[in-house]
Amino acid sequence: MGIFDSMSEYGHEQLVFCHDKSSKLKAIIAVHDTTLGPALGGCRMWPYEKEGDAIHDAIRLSYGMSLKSAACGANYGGGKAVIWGDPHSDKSEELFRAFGLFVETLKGRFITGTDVGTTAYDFVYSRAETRHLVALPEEFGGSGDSSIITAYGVFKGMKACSHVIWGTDSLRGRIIAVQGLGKVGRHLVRHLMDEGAEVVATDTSEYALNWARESSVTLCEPGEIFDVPCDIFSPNALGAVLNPSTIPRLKCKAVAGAANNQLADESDGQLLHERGILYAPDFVVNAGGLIQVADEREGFNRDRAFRKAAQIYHRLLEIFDISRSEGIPTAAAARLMAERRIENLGKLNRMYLPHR
Amino acid sequence: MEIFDYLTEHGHEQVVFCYDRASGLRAVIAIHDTTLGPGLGGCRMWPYKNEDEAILDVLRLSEGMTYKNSVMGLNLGGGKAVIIGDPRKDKSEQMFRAFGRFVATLGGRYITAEDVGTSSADMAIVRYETRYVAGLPDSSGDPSPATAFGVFRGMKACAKRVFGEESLRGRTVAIQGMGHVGYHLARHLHDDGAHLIVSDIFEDRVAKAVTEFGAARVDPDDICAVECDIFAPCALGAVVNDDTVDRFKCKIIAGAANNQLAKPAHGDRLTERGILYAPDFVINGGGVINVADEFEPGGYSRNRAFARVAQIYDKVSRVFEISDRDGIPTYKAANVMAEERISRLSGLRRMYVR
Repeated sequence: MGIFDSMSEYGHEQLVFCHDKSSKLKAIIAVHDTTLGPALGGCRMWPYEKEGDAIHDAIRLSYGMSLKSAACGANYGGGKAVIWGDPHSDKSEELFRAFGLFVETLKGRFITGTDVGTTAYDFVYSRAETRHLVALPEEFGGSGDSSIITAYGVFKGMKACSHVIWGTDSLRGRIIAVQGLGKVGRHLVRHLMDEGAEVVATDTSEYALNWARESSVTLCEPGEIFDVPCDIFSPNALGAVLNPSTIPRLKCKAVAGAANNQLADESDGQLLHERGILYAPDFVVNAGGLIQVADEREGFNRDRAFRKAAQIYHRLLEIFDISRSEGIPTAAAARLMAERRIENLGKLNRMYLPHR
Repeated sequence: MEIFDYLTEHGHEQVVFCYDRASGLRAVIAIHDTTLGPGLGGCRMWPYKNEDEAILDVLRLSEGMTYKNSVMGLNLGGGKAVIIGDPRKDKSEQMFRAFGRFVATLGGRYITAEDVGTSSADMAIVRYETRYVAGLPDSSGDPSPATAFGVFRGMKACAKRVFGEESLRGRTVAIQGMGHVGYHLARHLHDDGAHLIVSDIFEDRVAKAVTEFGAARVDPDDICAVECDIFAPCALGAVVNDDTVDRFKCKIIAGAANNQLAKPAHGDRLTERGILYAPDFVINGGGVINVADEFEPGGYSRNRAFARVAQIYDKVSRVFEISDRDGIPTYKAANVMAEERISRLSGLRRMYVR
């Protein structure tokens, strides 16, 4: 498929190929939609097999960022950058300086930070060339680890599910099956245990399992997590865990977790809908990280960021309402809500204001 | 096509795909090299058969602009834009404003202008959204007189080298194409006392030259083989090709057309035949000098612009010096001249200035 075909399919504004001779940088910056504000999205570094894969990734991920930002109420558009290279062998100061220069060429239309394959410290180099960066290390003005707020957002999202299903925000006594005890998963489990919920969890790393044992978390085998009778299933590890082979096995009333791209395919949202399982769309419930870095742009205030993340609760209730009234799966309802916000706020831009 | 392979091979910095849902705009902006300054190059509108054709065109043309701007001594790098569409039916205000907005997103790293398929009226619309556009109706205007004057000056440099004197009095010049540039060139040559032989596919243009300048006329098919001192291609590209290269009966080829050599080998063949070739992008740089003057502090000055265009004489002479120095054909010497200036000046920005 041609580049313009992909752009028009998703509605992208701009795709920027960046090349630097001396550092051998090959990067693509995708700007999806800037109706709400500058495009915000991380910079991924990956040894793509071919150029088309890098283009496709940039296009797909920047579109996802538009939806996420619009759905969580942030005033940012969707963007993403990909650096075509091996994060283990191709990194250098020159590479990230050159990348910073190209971010600067867009004059703030695109704001970026760390993502898969890059670390906050890589962008300390880029910082010499551009200020359009977020999620720098704390000593360089960044807001720091975003896993805490992400977990908090997921926890609030679970309460929204509970409100709709059981008529109460409290998760006391509920059984939550947690897949993945990485940073986000562990913070989430702490919230749940403090609330008096019962947690059954799984992970493959020895470190996470030891932590679970010390914290008296009930464990199960990784393959069994889909079969655990529970109230809420919470995927916090891999993508595509909700698919035709796992969905029939689920014994829960709701799904709410921090993992990205939980649905293997759009049709899996329909499958959950038909089974009567309430699905908290991933890009809404895991928006805490985005909310935190977006807050950096206003001079980071942790309390304010957490208050914004708490709004994920209300956003989800709104999405569940749309899902009910339109008779569509919640993932489709979330997309609809995001698109409506972009559309409606876009109309505001029609009005002329001098000196702006 | 594999875009990064091409960028790596040719050294481009940036390629920007721009799409606007509302107007259907599909544009590609290519920035080749900005060592000397912002990339300047026109915006072409063309009904490309497919996307790759458009990408290849904009990559090729933007690289050409780096060389042209460097040789002209401008503080400008190479850039170019293409809009995929039919200029006769796909134009709209919305489209050119959307294009202007995309030019604005680059904050002045790319400066656009009219080109094949676009007009200065289109650029006036682009100007509503960005100030990084040149060639506006009420500024430097039609670039043809400047281009023609530059070609005239370049011819004199050729005459000096071949005949020992720069005057064209009594010389016979065959001009292919009597469009805007060809016409103005004919006027300069006539004033200088040259004999003219002209051709064009439009009879009225030829008739005008016959009446005003006493030019002789030949059939467009025969102009390349006409006996003359200087052959001046001012129409199509690829005029020096397998069919024509051995038919020329001139001592000099110096004209305004773009991409005059069908292949580099044709430039080598001209050297073998003892025909002096004034590289196209050097001798036809008057237009870009003229339009670039709009970005001088205080705006466009015709006197200053034409004074600079006159220096194409020195640019062409410098190409011949490099050709002698390195023992290479003139078309290669022009590239060397462009590259040398870029590499000499690239070191300047190493020095920190607050």
